Amino acid sequence: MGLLRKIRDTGQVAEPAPPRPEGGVPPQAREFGGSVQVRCVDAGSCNGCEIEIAAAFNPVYDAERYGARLVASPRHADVALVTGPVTRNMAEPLRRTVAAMPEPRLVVAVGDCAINCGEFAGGYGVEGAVSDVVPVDLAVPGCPPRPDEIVAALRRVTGR
Amino acid sequence: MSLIPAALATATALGVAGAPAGLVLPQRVRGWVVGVLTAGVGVAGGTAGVAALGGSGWSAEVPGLLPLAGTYLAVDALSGLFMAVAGAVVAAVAVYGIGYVTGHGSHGSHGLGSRGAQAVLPLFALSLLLVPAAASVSTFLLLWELMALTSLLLVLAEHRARPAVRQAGVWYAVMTHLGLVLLLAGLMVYAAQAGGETFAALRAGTTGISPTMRGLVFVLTAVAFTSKAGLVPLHAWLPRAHPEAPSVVSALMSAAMVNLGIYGLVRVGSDLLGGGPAWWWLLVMAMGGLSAVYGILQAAMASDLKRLLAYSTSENMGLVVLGVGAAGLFAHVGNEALAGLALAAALLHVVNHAAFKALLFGAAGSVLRATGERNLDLLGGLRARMPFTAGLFAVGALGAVALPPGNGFISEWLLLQSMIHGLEVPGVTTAIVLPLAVAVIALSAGLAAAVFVKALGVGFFAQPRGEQAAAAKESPLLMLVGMGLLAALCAALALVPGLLGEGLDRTVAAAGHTGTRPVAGGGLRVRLEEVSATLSPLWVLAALVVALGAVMGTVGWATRRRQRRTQARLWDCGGGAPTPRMAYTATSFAEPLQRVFDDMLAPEQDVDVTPVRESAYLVERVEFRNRVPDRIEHRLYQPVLDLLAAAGQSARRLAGGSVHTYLGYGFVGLITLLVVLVVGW
Amino acid sequence: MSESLFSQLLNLACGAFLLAAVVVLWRRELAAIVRLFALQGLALATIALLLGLHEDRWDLLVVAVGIGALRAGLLPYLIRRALAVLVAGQDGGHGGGHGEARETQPLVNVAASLLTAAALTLLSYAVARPLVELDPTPATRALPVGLAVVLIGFFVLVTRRRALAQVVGFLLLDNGITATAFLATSGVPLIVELGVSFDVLLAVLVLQLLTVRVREAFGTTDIDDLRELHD
Repeated sequence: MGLLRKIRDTGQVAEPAPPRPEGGVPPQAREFGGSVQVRCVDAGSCNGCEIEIAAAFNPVYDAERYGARLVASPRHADVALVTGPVTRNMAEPLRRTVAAMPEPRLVVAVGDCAINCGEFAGGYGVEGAVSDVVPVDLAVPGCPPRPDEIVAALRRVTGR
Repeated sequence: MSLIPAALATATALGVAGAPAGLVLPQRVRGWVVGVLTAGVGVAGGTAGVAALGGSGWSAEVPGLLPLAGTYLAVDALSGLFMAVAGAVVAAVAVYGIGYVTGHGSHGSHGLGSRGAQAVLPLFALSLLLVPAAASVSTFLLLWELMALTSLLLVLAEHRARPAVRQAGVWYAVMTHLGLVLLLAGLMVYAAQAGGETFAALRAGTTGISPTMRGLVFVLTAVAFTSKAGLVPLHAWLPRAHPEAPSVVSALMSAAMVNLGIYGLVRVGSDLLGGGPAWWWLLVMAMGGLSAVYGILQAAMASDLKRLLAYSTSENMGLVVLGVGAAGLFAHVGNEALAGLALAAALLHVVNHAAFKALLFGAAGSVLRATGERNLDLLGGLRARMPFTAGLFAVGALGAVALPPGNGFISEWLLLQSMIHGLEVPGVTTAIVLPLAVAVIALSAGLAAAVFVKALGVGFFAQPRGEQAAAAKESPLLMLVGMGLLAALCAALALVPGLLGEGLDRTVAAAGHTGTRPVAGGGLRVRLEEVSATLSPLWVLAALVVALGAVMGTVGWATRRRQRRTQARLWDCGGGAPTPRMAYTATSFAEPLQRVFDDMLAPEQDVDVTPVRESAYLVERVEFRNRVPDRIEHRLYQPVLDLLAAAGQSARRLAGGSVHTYLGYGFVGLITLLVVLVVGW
Repeated sequence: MSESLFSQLLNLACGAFLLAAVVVLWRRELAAIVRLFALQGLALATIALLLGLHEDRWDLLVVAVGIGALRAGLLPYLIRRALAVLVAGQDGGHGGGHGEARETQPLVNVAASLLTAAALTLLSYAVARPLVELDPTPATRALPVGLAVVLIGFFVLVTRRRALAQVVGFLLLDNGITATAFLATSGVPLIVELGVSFDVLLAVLVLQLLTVRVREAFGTTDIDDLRELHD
């Protein structure tokens, strides 16, 4: 009873949906038909982008209403959300993770570090940006990017 | 008529000739000669059994052999069934045994190939064949004890190689003799009350015995026989003796010796005592049902391959005893048709179990011999290295999981038919007990499937989890031939069980349920006239083949459009190559089952953390131990043993050291005896 | 000899036999006990002699002579010798050889042991009744005496502390068994009697030796001091 009352009293907390982002759906994403399984890969980030991704999937921003869902294994995934500059130790695992994804597949680089190494450019442990290791289809700039920008990028993939 | 005595005499002669042959011959020919002689014993005994199943009978008295009591032998259809089963198993396992001791990779004259073991092996085989032929109490007990002693010597055959064998031998010796004491007491009471010791005299004298005495006899003999069959609560010898014995001996024990417990139960309970009140059969069914579930659970938890198979024997014998109990219950209520059907189902399961269990133990022995490992967690990848053994194990496993087209399916189907149709019988007892029995059978069948998928999958498929498994080679030809014979028997029992129908009918009649023909009249099919049910294994097999073909065809056609193929790595979470040791092990396979049945199994876990000397926060070594103990042993045996030890300790006070006390004990004893004599007269 | 004379003489001999056993319970000096044992041996020989005369069997007469020689002559002599050795080894110190030659306080006092002897005699009469009823002859009627002496001998064996007294008790036991055999069956075969006698002789020799050794090792033959026979 307490739970039902809480549900009734809380109501809906999700923000109203912003307008659809510009830019069409990338060609290989058309096959997904609006339902996209997402695997997050941390290739060496400071976890700032991870916190924002987590916020993107919370009840306030609620990315799931646009058809994106988090999964636990790249074998189940359509889209890989890669954060952080790719460190030397994570280069090969990142390649293997993307290779383990079935086709069609998309790689989305989230955050400035994923796009061009950001803060950590030139560090001795950094191999390069994500595009140096695997081909990147979509980029979300920011340090860290806001959750609504991450949601907008996912909406471009799902088309909703 | 003269086939049976001739065959028995041949078997005895060969068996008795095998003992000195094993002792005297040099190692080069010992294995061959003893193996051939033992196979001869099996064939001769099996022939006698088949002849008895075909309708002939025989009985004789041999006066000179035993002092005081004389030897009485009699063969009817019931003993014929068990003799036929034992004979077939002995013959095939003897061929396997020749390969075991003489083939490449054997230990020569250690273990089973030593003089002592080879001398005792034909005697053990002979005793397995002669026990069902005994027709008086003293003959029966003598042959029973011969079987127990020879099997004990064979269990101890490898005691030099492993110290655990000695402990297993002690457990086996104690429990088998405990059973013997109970059996002796029961049969002695019976003979004294009935006024004679031959089975004919016992049968005739049963009507004059009071129900309490009959009940006492039944309880004593039932506990002794079910202990030999490996049922709880006196089952503890089975998972200890079977793994430590050489595989030839394990196969003989599991596939032929435990059957004699069932034989004794049916002979004394149904035939000699002529059935009894419901509580007898409910007690028997309770033991059977509990063993079925407990046995298969313990098998699910076991990682030792032979221990798994031993517990599976316990489970199957539990199912058989469930059928025997149901038969008794139906007979007590008056429904002879269902009683005959339940008993026929139980006996058919005995035959099926003998076939697939001997095959499974043979394959396990083959694996053990090739790799030196019994632990499933260290095996694997044997399908590529030992293809024939893997295939034969798969045939045995198919029989054991009781699914079509395996042979275990037929007998479990029969058993379920008898239970389900038994629901029509009026009465509160049957209405409660039979659905429980059906549930127990279903549960044990399901768990058996999990157990054998684990054994086959973890043991034979995937990659080898250890070096010894990686270095395995296929077994010698004769071992494969022996196993192949058993696999052919399994296949025959699976595809044309109707051929056994007549024999089973005669067996059921010999066990006291005359006037019913439960299984016959189907030719190649199994047709149950009295409950109007038919099963045609050949059609089932054909249907399965067609269905499988259809599915594979459809899938093949549906996927033929996708021309593109990609080579992909095994997903290993991205870092580091997985070793075969990281694949599913038997323990991990069984872990969900362990969690579900946690209350019944009560597993014990120990974690031992050794920190580095300098700091308690850095760990140097962690040791994790997970054990599923045998709970019945723990709860039932330990208190009894503790009580005995306490009694022994307190009795030490009787020996005070004073000579006067000791003399006084004797004096007081003598005076007491004399006073009792005086007062008693 | 006539029946009545025979039965009276037999009863007399059996009475002396039993009396000797009872008096052994009363006396405490070892020398006296050995003398009583010799007397009992004579009584036993007399029983055998009477039986032989009554039934005209010469082998029983030979056995009687043999028993007399052994149990009234040789065995007491051996025991006296052992006693002498024990007493002699004790000279100097204690007064007049009293330590070893006299039984210490027995486990059961004299009055109680005499009453026990009476009870054992009654018990043997009760036990032997069915045997006597089988064949009531004068000899079998005296059978309970043999049994009583067996039980009294066992009682002596249990309750004496000195090793030599226990030897005498053992010999009383054997005397009782022999008497029972004679009275019940008119004697055992000669060869059996020879064998048993030889055994007894050997037993006494060994026990005599052991007693001396025990005395040398422990300084006493009081078996109450020997309490190590346990684990």
